[in-house]
Amino acid sequence: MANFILSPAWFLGIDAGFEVVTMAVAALIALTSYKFYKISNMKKYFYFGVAFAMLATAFATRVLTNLIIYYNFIEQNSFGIAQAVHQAVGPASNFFSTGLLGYRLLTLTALLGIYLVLSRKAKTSKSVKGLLMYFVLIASVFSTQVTLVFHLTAAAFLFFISMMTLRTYFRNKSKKTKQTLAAFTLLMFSQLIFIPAIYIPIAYVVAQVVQLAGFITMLFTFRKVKNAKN
Amino acid sequence: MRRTRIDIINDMLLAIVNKGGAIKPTHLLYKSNLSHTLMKEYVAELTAKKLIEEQPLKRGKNFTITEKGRKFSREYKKMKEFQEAFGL
Repeated sequence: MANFILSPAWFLGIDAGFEVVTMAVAALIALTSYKFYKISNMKKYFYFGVAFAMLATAFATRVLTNLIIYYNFIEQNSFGIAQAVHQAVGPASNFFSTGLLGYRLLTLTALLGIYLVLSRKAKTSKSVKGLLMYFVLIASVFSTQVTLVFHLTAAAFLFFISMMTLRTYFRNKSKKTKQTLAAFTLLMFSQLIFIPAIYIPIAYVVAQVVQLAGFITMLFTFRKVKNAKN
Repeated sequence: MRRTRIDIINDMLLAIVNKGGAIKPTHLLYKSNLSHTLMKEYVAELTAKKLIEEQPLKRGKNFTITEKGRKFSREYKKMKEFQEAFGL
């Protein structure tokens, strides 16, 4: 069985706090993109908004499942950490697996969506999109057994998203694009740092911090956009 | 680069703003870089959406930008910044 709690005991709950922030940033971007869709009627804003809404939902799912598991974990902590983890995970295993699958499926679908919008491949044939969605589904399902699959797939998507943002930066030399590039690159690195977390718990903390830094960077870019004046 | 519908609308609104909030139809035609037929279509749309208003003068008429039009222009600017930031 996959090890569900990767966080060191002292970090339990703090990671949920981090994820609430990332969820809020993703939701803000989703709402803004949807607002621009309503103004312009341009589909790219709609798809971009939907992708970020999925990302926000993914984090909400993760926060919820983690908090329930952590609550059980803390309740039974008197048995000692190893036993507590086992006992906490035991009864809630199905719930947690479903939550984890939901989180991973939503995250990978969101990243695929962002990739398709940024690569201007949103109009790609339905068969290609169907095939990509199939791979996302496969990666999500198998990642519940092998965590590596999820983080590598997410990192791969984020790598291509970063590359496209880099291309945009070379074209427009905008500081805001540079910040977005930094944000996506940080998110990519966070996914790679999550990989050794099964064996090294501190890697989980570092990955969470890097992920938060990525979303905070995105929030700064977002603030610049919101404060734009004529 | 080909202008989208929303780019054209913003160009028309900006042309009015740059003229102090009111513009003559001939100036708008020149500034918006559209054919007469297309400009009439856009003016009808902008008027219907209450982004601009037609103001009769002793001789001819003026188009004035409304508060809603100014707000639209500000939102357009933000949308362009968003587009640039994320490479959309």
